[in-house]
Amino acid sequence: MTKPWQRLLWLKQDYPDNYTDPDFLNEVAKLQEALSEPQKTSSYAQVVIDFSLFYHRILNTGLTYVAFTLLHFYHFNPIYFTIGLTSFAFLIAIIYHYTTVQIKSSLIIIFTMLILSPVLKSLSKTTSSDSIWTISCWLTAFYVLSIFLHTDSITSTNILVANVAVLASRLESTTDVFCFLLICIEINILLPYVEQSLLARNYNLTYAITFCLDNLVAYYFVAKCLGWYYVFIFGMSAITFVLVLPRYFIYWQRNYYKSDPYLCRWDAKKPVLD
Amino acid sequence: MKYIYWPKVAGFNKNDARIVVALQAPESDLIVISLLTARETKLLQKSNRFKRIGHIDGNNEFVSELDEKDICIVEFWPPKLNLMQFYALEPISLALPEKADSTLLSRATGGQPSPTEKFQMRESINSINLYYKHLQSLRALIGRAGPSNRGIPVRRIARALADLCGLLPLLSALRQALTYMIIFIHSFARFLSAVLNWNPLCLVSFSATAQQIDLRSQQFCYFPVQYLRITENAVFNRMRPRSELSVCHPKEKQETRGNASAGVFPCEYYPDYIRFYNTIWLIVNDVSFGLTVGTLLAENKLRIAKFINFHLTDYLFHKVHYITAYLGQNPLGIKLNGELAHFLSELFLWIIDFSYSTYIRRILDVSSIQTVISIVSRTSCCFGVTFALSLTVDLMSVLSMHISLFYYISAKMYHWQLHVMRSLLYLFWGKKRNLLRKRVDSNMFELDQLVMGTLFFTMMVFLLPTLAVFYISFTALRMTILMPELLLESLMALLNHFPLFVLLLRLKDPSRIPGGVSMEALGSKNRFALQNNPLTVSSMFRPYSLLMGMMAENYCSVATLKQILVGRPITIKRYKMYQVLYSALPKVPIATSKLWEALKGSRPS
Repeated sequence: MTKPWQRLLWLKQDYPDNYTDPDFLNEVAKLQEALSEPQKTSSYAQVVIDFSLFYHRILNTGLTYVAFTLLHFYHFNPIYFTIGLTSFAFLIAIIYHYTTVQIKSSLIIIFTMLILSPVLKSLSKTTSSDSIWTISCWLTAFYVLSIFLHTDSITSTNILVANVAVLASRLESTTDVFCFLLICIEINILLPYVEQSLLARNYNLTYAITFCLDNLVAYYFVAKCLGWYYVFIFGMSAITFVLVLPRYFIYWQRNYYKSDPYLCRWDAKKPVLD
Repeated sequence: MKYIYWPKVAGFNKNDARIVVALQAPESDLIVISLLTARETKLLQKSNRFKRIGHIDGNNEFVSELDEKDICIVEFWPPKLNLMQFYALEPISLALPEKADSTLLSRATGGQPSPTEKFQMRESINSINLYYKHLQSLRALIGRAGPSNRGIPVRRIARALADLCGLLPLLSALRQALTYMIIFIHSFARFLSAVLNWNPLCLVSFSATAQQIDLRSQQFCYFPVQYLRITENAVFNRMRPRSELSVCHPKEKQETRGNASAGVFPCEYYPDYIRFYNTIWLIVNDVSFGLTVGTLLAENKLRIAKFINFHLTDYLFHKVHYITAYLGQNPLGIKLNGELAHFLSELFLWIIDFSYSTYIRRILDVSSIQTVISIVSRTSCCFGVTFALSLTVDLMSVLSMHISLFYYISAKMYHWQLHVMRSLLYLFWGKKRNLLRKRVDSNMFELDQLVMGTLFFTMMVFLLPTLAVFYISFTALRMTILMPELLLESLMALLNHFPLFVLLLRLKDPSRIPGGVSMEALGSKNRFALQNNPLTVSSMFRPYSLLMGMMAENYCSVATLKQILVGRPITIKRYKMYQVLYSALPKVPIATSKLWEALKGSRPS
């Protein structure tokens, strides 16, 4: 029995050069039909919305660093802020879910963090700050990558917690470590969850408000710390990402992407010269 | 093809003896026994064992009178049984046969055909071994009484002398006393061995001295059995396994004695003889070495004590103390976790100080070392150098106990940490081990489980280098302590089990230690010479090569490296190691009551 024919030029196959696969003859009518139709593309608005959702997650990750910088460089007292944020999170959870919040689970997390925060603080104290920044940077990169690849995986959560634990050693006191942990979990795990549920329930306006608030906080902070120059750079990159990149995506989809299954299988590979 | 075995001693000494007579044993080839004259051959008509197969013609050539034309002559030197020479198809075993079958040794020797397998060559070799006996019976048949008993047995002379002097009662009393003494020594040795091997404590696996005592007592238990076996073949040759001396029923005994003349081969028990005298030689050697070493030790007591005091205090206390303290302070610039490193370092420093002040300082005191050396030298003089070595090994392991303790503690911690980290790593990727199906499955964890697990995992990752540094340094320390111990133990093994007697036999008379036969083609057609291949030196030292292989496997192999990386503790498996060397001793010593019966039974009637 000979091997089935493959549509690959670089393979040495036991078929004559002018061999025509019977499948092709069967499907050639449908292929012509597909060729006559114009290439379907996604709508620009939908692509922009998808890109901005991803941008929003990255922004949330950035808020971790905002919190860290506030605690580490500006010696901000985090207690009142944490209490406020936590109560707010509870309120939102109660209001939007209309269910009893899982008290046990939250208590376990809070107490574990209380117990472990001194350990976490001393864990990498002897490691130099440079190493910590590098490790944290890589972990953040992996975190973004894991969000990009599969959003509902628990790997991203784990990488986030590891990142926070690494950063925690640079903080001053145990209270700071505890508050930082709590803030990070609320911002990066609970906030995206709430936002997604907002979208799912079509509370679009509320979602838009949160999105704007996030942006506002992040850019205000960047402006305060680094100056308007950086705000301009970050803002321009964000706008490029959200508004320009979708255009390019649609261009790519129109010219190169073959969504039709017959086109996928039988299209003539034209070299693109421009 | 017909094989005819031709003894080289059957010469053409008599001009008229030209008729070739051969032995026709069942399932064996023809074995030429002698050349006879025509008159003598006539006397053999009745016998069916001996058969005329041909004659010698005028040119001193053998002319066959057999039906088969295709014949092949194999010349051989008949083995002298009284000199304990014999041929064997397989190399004789220096280990006990039942031990040789055990997994380790048989794996090394490879697939040997089992000795019970029958074929013509084996039967022929058996007949060749009994050549002189057959010659005697042939001569008896033809009435040419040969010099059957060249020497008068020593025992007969002794008895005659005793009779002469009226010393018989005294002799028997002496014999009685000897029997009681043997029984006493045997039961004592057996008790000692049993105590040392007593299961829940199993001293043998801990201490080299216990092992040495156990070896000696087992040897003492086995001596009477071995002696009876080599002197009184007829009684014991039916006994299998060799560790048991079942007392024969009188009828069976008779039968055995009857068969002994022709059916049972005395050479079967020559390996026992070799083993017995090898052990005795080794013990004597051991004691004589011991005298030398003991005297040397006793003479240079003070100098040795000072040397040991200085160096051991340095290595076992100061150096270890320094290393442990150093590990607590970011060694080699590696940033360890400060708190944990400090804690571990403090813990180990405390153990070092404690053990030093409680016993190491007292033992390593110059005067107490002198006492120890004098004890060791006396032991060496009385019991042999192996006892001195084993005492040294034990003393070393006692003195390095704190290092072993560190090693075990750090290995345990490291192992636990790795184990926990593996489980948490599964959690990190959202997986979980399924115990029922023995595989790793995906699992959705709750948020609290996730956060807790990840926090712990991160902690473990950061603590791992600290524990690993402690673990690696103590493993290295432990290995350096183990090396001299292993060296001494190998030396002990060599002294205890060196195949000295066999080596000497190899020089003196290689045909006493047959390792198989070979046929060499002689010049003319269809003529071969049967030759004895003595045991090779490598096969004599096989237990050692096995032991060395095991040591290499235990201490420097990839598997061991893996074990070290995983954090499994590495221990001396002394018992397992010496199993190879115990190959010349039965597994269980013979019961005293059986020995008593055997000794009584062996009395001359």
